[in-house]
Amino acid sequence: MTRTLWAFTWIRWRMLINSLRSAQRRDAVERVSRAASLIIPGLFLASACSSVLAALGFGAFAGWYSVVHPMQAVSVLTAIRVFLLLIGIFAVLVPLFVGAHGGAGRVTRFLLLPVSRRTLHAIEVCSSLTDPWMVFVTPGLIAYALGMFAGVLVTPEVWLHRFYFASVVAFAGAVGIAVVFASLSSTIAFLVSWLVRDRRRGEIFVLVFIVMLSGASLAPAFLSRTFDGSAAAASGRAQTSWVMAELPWWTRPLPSELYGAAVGAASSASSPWLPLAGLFAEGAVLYALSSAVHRRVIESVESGRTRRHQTRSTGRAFRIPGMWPGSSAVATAQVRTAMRSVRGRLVVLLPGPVVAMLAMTFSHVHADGTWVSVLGSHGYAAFGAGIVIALYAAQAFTLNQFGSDRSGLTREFIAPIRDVDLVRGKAAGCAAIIGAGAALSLLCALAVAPEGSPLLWIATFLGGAAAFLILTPAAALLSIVLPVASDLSKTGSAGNPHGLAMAAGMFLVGLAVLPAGAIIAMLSPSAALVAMAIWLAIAASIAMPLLSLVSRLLKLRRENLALVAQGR
Amino acid sequence: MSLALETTSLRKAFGELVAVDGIDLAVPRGSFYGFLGPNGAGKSTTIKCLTGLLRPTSGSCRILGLDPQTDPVGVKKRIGVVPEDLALFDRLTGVETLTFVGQVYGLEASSLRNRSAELLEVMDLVEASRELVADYSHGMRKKIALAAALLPAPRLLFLDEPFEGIDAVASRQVKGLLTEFVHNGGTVFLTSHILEIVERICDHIGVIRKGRLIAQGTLADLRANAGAGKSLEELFLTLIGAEYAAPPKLDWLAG
Repeated sequence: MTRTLWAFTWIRWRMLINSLRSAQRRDAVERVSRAASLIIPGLFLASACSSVLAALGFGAFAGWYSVVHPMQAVSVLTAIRVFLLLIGIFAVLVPLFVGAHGGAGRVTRFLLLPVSRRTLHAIEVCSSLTDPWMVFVTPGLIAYALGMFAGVLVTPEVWLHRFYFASVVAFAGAVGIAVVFASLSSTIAFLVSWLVRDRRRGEIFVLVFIVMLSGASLAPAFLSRTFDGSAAAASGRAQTSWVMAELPWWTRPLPSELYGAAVGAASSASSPWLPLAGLFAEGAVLYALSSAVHRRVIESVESGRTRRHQTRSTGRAFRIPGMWPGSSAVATAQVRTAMRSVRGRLVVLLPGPVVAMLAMTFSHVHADGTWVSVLGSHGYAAFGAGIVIALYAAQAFTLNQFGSDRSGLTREFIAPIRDVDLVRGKAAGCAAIIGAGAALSLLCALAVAPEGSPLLWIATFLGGAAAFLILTPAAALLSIVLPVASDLSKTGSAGNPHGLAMAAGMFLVGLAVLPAGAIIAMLSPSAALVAMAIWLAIAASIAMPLLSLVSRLLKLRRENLALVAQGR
Repeated sequence: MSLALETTSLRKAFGELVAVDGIDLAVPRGSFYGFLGPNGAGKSTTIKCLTGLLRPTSGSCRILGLDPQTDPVGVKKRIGVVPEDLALFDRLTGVETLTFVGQVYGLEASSLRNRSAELLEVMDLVEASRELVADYSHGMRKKIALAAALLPAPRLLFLDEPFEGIDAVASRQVKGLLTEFVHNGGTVFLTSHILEIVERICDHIGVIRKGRLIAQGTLADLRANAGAGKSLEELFLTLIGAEYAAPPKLDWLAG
């Protein structure tokens, strides 16, 4: 078991190191691109290390402080309970997110090795202790126990010697909490992993999960009758006092409460055995449950392609009017592949319902005359918000136009298509995808908030088109310079464009919609329509030559793009 | 002799690694050319350089009389390629893949429809034609990639390992199709590790080792130079210098 655990730790380390070395045979631009993509993981690693150090420091100080100021020990323990409650919520939600984003597929990778399933499961559970939301819990709690022990050593008062026992209980509780949380998050991760083992089932799960999550995130605002800052602050104070008070009975079996009860009892010379035993029993049950789900996962057949599915498409050639057939074919392929991926469906399906929810929420809130009420009372503003959401959601396509087709890009490169036609075709495909999302937003906005001058609705549409046109050359440029091989069936980092491209994209979308927003906000409806038409014409006259210019760069980067698309 | 493909000192380097080291290929029109070499010899890299997926570091080539560096689109209109990764959109169906290819090659709608139907029939993919390529087996993917390469009726076909991973029935169909293609004046340039098939269908052979072309000519020429009466496998092993290599011996495998 130890040797296997060591081997798995080593292989992860080597994979990390080798990921830094793989670009040595590539050109300078690609090497810079790959180095830049390590910035965000690097920052994440640095913050994780500092979090662990901070947790050790805070934990040790909290333990020591509890002994040196015994009257405050209950407050410290309450803070730890709240913290553990939050971590418990994370232990459930984060594996759901990660799994939905396509990160739960590690389970069967090592099945061919002569490692028993029991050991494989134990290693998977242990590895969840290194998950970001878990990495500082165990060190923090152990430091709390040690701090308490150290506090007793420097305190001369004999009556505080009961904290020796409390520190031992806190240490045991830390181990119990680690087992419970690791088993809990593993169970959820395995469950999601089992769900997404079938490609179609996985895609449905991800779509439902993301759309439900987006809706749920607006629920608190929808339930609220006001949008008053002072009321929110008051409610925050009320929440604090609620946490401090006695919790309802059903919260007692929560791991955080069992831990708190055990350490609290030991600190006040009562028996901690019952809650401590409860904590370990919970850990054992969850571990057994995760083992059962793990077995289910590894015994199920992974099916990227098992359930054959006939599409309704007859494959008829479709030509976009006024476009060269090759560009039209590229655009059609782009739209078809997008509409059959999770990312593409999200671009179309997400903005509409979110806009409808936003409009309903803000029309529900009594805040007339403030900016929040505009979305509820002016449907064209909600429509505009839908376009902006679609522009952001489509970044997986727009900012990585050559990295998401995988070997499909090879097909485009071996076909007799000129660079400029390829770039135009990709742009037209992106326009169609974003247009579909924007169209659904329009319908939703019209259904929920049909008010507002028709001229402003048209101006909003023109503004969205102008924003897209302005973004197009920049998106093509970023796609050519910073490509990454991505999987559009994943909603997480595996389906994302390059980190730098995303950062630039966030900024550029904001910049591109700014003129349209200003025109709508500052001018009368008829003036806004005229101004927007002029802005659209300007945007088109800027975008078209720039797109041709960018396509020249494609010629220089073809080889690199082909290699990246093949995952090399 | 009219050449379908001709390279002069073609070289491709990735940093310090030289994958293709100054090769001079001469592929006659209407020939069935087998391009052989051990793993990592540079076969796929050569095909990628010739089909425009990689830019040669130096050297030149002419394909069907055209220079792919100056007229890449013109060259691509005349060739068909089944590359190493098969070049397929996973989320297009088989028929949509052919439609895409037909459109970019500028085929008329009726011609595209008829050719697609015939190719799907020949490749035994009619039933699966409306399924996503992602749902295809490896052999089906190979067949739809070959159908896509044949659809525009090219004069030169580049095939990277066309027989790897397909069953005996499909292999026989593909061999028949390619032989017919060559009889009708087309040229096939293929790489394969299945030397029995190459021996049976190819009339010209080129052997590459560590990026260098070490032999080229008709099978009869190669036999005359490297050993009469030898099978292609024996000839190949002789040419790459592995003829007298002792079989590997791992004592600890004896149990």
